[in-house]
Parts: sequence; structure tokens; C-alpha cells
Amino acid sequence: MARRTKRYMFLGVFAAFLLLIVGFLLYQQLPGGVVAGRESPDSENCYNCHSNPEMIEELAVIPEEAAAGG
Amino acid sequence: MEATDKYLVSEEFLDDYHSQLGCTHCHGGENVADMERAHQGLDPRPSADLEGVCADCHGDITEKYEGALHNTVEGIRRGLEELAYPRNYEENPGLLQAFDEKCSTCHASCGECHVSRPTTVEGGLFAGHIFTSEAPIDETCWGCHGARSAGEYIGNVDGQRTIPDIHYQAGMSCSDCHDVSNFHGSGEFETGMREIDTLPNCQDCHRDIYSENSEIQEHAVHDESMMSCNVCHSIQNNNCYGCHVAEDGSTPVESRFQFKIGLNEHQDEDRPYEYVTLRHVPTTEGMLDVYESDLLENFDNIPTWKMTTSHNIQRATPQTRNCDNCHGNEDIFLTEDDLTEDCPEANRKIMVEEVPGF
Repeated sequence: MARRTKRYMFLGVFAAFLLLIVGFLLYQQLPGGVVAGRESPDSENCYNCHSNPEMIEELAVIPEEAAAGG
Repeated sequence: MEATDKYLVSEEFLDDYHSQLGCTHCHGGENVADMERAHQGLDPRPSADLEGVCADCHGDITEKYEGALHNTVEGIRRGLEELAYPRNYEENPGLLQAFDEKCSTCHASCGECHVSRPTTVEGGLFAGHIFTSEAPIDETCWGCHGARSAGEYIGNVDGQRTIPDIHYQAGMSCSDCHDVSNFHGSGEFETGMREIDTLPNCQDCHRDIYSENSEIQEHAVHDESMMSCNVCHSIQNNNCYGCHVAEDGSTPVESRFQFKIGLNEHQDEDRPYEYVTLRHVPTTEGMLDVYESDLLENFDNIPTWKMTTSHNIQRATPQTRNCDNCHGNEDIFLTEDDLTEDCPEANRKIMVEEVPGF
């Protein structure tokens, strides 16, 4: 394989890798995410804790005024 | 109450349309993994603001709810002011403070019926944040009305086991009798339960029950102007003598299961009965002394026994068993013997001077 071709291939793979990283970072910034396999806007971090009984026990340290209400 | 009983969100909630709004849409805070940052600015009760998130989709309901008794507790507000007459809220800070601290906190937000338990019973999600269009009686209604209506209906009066209402035993919920406007409001500014014209009546279902041709002899000889259905078909109800006002316990409350029949103080077209079942309301002359002494100046003119439609209806009761159980039986009528020294003079208006004979 020609040396130039190899270089283009390397650059192509490198660019794809960069794009993947940038895309992932951008995705993190976008509103929305996936909760339990379903799309759920702005909720995945909230849900990850509030659906986990062990984490909820930790949440008991939250002041009473922040207790779940209506 | 365990923390998981209060805050745990179930997976089924994700099937609820409300989950698609995202937690932060209603509650604020931030969708980040750091717990403290996530809870900064969090609003645990987003439905407390009637013009807030619920109104975006349910504006027709929140608009009506503004004037509903569940929201305003106007019935209690007026009742307290009536007891304090000629004092009023505008000129008596002590009265206003008592209402604000002890009465107005009873109002319910949308979420306190449809998502969580009322704050009066420590709050918390009753079904993993799933929204229920019909509030569960034992979780939400009971939270506020557990010592009386809801408690008697499901047979758990403030923790004491009683015989549940026959309608509850038949699987009926509150909304099977009560129009939704009884909970959400009619759209008018409501001033008290008695003024609401969509309240249920036994005869909405049990039509033509009072009839000379009835196979049930008691229904043939008693008519509606004589007595309410409760007089024969309800059992002992919970009566409170005092109100939990002072935090230090200096205003103790005694409650008793009793069954008392008295005169109907407010006979009208909707309630033509001469005899009704009564309940002692949690009021004493000095209950607000912790705010200001002798605040309830009009106490003597307002009966502490009120007509009640106890929600503990039974087909067979001691009254239905035998004529003698009512006729000539002084024990079940409010008589002179029931009037204590500290009760208001107005109780005499509803007292039965001569117990019906045959």
C-alpha cells in the first residue's frame, strides 16, 4: 500500500475518533438522556439516584424542607 | 417513615406522561450527578403554586381550584372568625396568626392528593411518583380526614379499627358519590361545605326510599322531614373535645366514640330533617389562649355539636334492630345530661328536650 494512502487512512481513523469524542462530549451537554432504556429529558441523574433504594437511604440527609411533596 | 417510602421513584413512573417532562421541569434543581448541586434550588412542592407547572396543561382545573375549600380552607377561616366575633382577622393579629399557623396549613396542593401524601402525615410519594387521577383514600384523603370522614369510611379512625362504611366494603371510593367539583371546586369562591350544591344525597342512588308502600316498615313510617338517613344507618362516630394547638401539649385533646342524635340547626330544602346525627367539633373556649387570651369571644353562641353525615353507614345498626333502641332511649339523644359546664350555651338549641316516644 502506498505510503500516502496509509497516511490518509491513519488521518481518517484519527478524525473519526476525534469526532466520536467531540460528539460524546456534545451529547453530554445536550438536554435529555436515557433512563432505564427510555428517553427522558433532564432526568437521568435524578432518576439514577431516586430509583435506587440504597441511594435513597443516603438522601435521607437532605433537609426536611426538600422532602418530596406535591 | 423510611426514606424509601418518601423519595423512591418507581420504574413504572417512566410510563407516565409526566415523566416525559423531566424531573427538573417541575422541581427545578439540576440534572447532575453531584447530590448537593442537584438539589440546589429544588422545589419539592411544585404544585403549591396554582399558576405553576400544573396549570400549563390542567389550567381548567387549577383555575377552579383557586376557590375550592381544599385550597382555601375558607370554611375553617370563617368558622374561626365567627367564634371570635366581633373580632376579625384584619384587626386581630393574634387571630390571624392562629389561623395561619394552625388552620391554613391544612390546605392541599394538587400533588398532595395525586402524587404524594399530605404533609400532615409526613408527606412522601405514595406510589413511586406515579400520578393517580383518583386519589387513594387510605393514603391521601385519610391523611387529613383520618380522624373523621375518611377514617370512619375505611374503618381506621386515627389508627383505631372501626367497622368500615358499607359502601367502602362494597368497593366504592369517594368519587363514586362525590362529584369531582366537591374536591376541585365549582369555579365559585366556596365559603363552606353546606353551601355547595353538588354534595351527594343518599337518594341520588336510593331513590324513593321514603315511601308509604315500602316493604321496609321503618321507611314507610318515617319520612325525610323527620330525620336524616344517618339517624338510623350510621354508628358511633369520633368526637373531639379540644384541638392540638399548643406545641408544648398544654392543649390536650380528648376524643370519644359516641352516637348522638340532635335537632337540625339548619333545616332547609336540601336538609329538611328535624333530627340529625351529631358530632362534637374540636373546639374549646380557651384553645387559642396561647395566642391571645379570650380570643373566642363568641364561643357561647356557636354550638360545639354539629350536624354530621358520618361516613360509617351500615345497613343494620342498633337503631334498625328495635324501635325501643331509639324511641324513649335517652342515651342516644343529646340531652341536658350531655351539656357540660364548659360547653357553649348554644348547644341547647340542638339539644332534644323530649326524647321521641311512640
